[in-house]
Amino acid sequence: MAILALFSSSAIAEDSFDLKTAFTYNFAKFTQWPQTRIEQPSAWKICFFGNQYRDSFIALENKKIAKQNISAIQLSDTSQIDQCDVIFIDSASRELTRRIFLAVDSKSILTVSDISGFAAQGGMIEIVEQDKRLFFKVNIQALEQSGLNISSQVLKLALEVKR
Amino acid sequence: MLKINVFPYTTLAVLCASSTVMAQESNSLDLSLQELMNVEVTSVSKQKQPLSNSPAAIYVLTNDAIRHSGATSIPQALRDVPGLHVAQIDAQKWAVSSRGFNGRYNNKLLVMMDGRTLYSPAFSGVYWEVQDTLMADIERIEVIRGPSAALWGANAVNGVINIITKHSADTLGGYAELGAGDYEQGFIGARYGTKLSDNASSRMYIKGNSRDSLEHNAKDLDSSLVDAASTVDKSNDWHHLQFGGRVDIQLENDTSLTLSSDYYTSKMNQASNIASMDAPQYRVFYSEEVETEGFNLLSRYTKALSATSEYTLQTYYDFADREEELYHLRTNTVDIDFQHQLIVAQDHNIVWGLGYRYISDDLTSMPILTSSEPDSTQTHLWSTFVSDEIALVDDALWLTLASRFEHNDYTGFEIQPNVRLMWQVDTKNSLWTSIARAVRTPSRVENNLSVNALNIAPSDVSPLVKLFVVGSDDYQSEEIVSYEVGYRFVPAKKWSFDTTFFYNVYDKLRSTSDGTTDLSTFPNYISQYTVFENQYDGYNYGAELSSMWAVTDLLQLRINYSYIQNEFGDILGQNTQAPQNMFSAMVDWNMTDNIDVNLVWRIIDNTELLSGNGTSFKSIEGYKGVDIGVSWAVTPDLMLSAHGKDLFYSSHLEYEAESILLPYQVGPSYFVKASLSF
Repeated sequence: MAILALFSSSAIAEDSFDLKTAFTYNFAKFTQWPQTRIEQPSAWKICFFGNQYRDSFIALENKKIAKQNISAIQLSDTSQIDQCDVIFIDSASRELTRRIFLAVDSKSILTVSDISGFAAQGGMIEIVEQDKRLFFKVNIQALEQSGLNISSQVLKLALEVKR
Repeated sequence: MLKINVFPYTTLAVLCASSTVMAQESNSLDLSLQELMNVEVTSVSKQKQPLSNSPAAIYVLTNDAIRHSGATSIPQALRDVPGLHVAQIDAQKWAVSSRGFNGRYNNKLLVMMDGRTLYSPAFSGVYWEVQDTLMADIERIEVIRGPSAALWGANAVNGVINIITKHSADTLGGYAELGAGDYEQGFIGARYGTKLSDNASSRMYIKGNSRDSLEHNAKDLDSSLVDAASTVDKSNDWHHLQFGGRVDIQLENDTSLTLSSDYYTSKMNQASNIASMDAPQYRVFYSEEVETEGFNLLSRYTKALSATSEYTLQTYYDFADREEELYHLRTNTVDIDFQHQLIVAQDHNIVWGLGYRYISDDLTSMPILTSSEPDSTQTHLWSTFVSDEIALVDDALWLTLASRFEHNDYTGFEIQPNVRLMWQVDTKNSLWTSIARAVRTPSRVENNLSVNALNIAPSDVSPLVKLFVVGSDDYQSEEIVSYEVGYRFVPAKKWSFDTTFFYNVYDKLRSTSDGTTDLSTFPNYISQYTVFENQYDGYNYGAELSSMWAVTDLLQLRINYSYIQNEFGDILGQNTQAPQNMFSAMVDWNMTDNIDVNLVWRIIDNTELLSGNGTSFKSIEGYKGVDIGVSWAVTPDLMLSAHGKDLFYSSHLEYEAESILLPYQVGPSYFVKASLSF
């Protein structure tokens, strides 16, 4: 608690692009991926929409998930979603969500977005901003449909869990 | 399927905020989720003016930029967009244009709000004074200079302004604003947004404002008219009330429906002058209160068919009523638009569509206008377009081929093709080029109306001559072929430059020629008819620059500049020439966590426009102005701001509308505003 208080009072301020990228990275880390994906020796493909996130996501390439490298891929349309393990959809890309939901349907692709209403409407994890802090909502139903699971510890931190 | 947690131990880290992580110095990627949730999000964003990667001269005004500018209406928000000439006529009326041909009746700019056209084809312009919404609910305004008729349709000759309001899921909760000043006498706005269910959200808003008159200065008026104008009431105050709402429903994962509606009512005073039989000026001035109201209802249904295919069906109804001494115009518009977007063979991003628009207008009680058609006319506009963006080299080179084919009742078939090429040289440099043809289709006045524009005083050899300008069935569309090259350069994160060079060739521009003379009323007067024709042509060229320098994370400087050179065979080819040089410098400074300061310094060159008698140009002297805005976030939910507009320089004329309106001066003004989110 003391540490939390310290963090709150010192008010570390970060750019929301970097922060949302860090959230996305953490969600990917704590996702229980299908065994077949774990066994694949290929890099994790973390895809993102939104030019403003470019630098933040490229920085992810220095990180690893389960000993595998990360490759950050910027998408501009919905035709190349199949290759992704994770997709971050920025709030300016709301118009793409209908197509993205169809593209990821039943595939093990984790969807993360800061579009308001994203989790309720079929997305997996929605990042929300409240009082200058970021929180998140999880849609378990959408995760399970795609054969994904997320750590219960993450769920405990969630603002809202839709089952 | 067997699933394992790839990091059995790190779940602990989620729970324990590790004290060894010194977050101030470390990258946020090293923080646990719990730590991340305690980090404050800065209000500063890296790129306030993201550069587009479209092969077009596009500039995007974000919600933030609009809020900082303190704009209380849409034309105000457009003031410092590079390449746009925004000139205020009186307290309500504006002339907005890109690359010349400005006017209250600017017919070469298409303006849309959420897919609904705001351009009035009967009036052949945009009634800016009634095109409004709660500024806080605008997500962005996209301004595209140059023709993009292939996508947007006729009249997108010199540009398109596309106003996009927020999705209702992004405007949940309450918002209220209140403000007052010397010229902005008072304005209120309120919105309430609510979640109807997991899959549906809505909002309702109301906005009202009162604006004081601008001052008239007799020196701005043609000296021969000063006496006649001396006694007329020069009030031009404006009172506007508008309310509306929007519902967004996610019907299925892949299907959504948007319904929206707005109603407005406006009262304004204006002083005009028209031809009269009375000596010595043969022009009479009068003042009046104009009443106008409008209503629209829109539905948009969008369904994704696959990951790469989606269609939209949009229908709207729009009603507008405007009652003036000169005319009473009622317009009913029904528009149906189908659009399908799909990716074919990975490399072809195709959009095609079909559209139908029905406009019924009712033009009555016109003292100086007469129509050869019945008061009420109906027009039908059919259109189809296709656009294929082809990735020639992945992530580097794109070719777009597009064309629109439409059929209108005045000129029949029109073809408006466009070829664009975009080359992303590397991460810092990109180049684009475009060749486009667009047309400006006739309005009712050019086709079947007759206007008693001028009465020429009797002389020793002639009685009074009533001069009529008459529309013609043979009147054709005006044409433009535009060549553009654009270059965007981002040498470092802190710098960006966006430049466009254009060369526009215009043909079949509106002209008039002497028609018949009616002597039957001799010797009281004679009537001389002049008929609209398409005899003028010409070209212009120029450059537009938009640049940004993020001096620090908290201080941003932008410089916008545009230059245009006009070469028109006849001086009357365009009724208004854009100022040759327009410059604005903007500073956006997050002075403290809670205080934002916004400064604008603009310099606008002389504006050459058609003077009252319609045969020569008049030069409106260039002007300068400074806007200052200071916003103070008292709490995250309460914002107080003070705005000064057009400061430090004397009052000036910005524009003189097409002869029948009086010229007014724009001078320094201020207002204060409070806004509250709850």
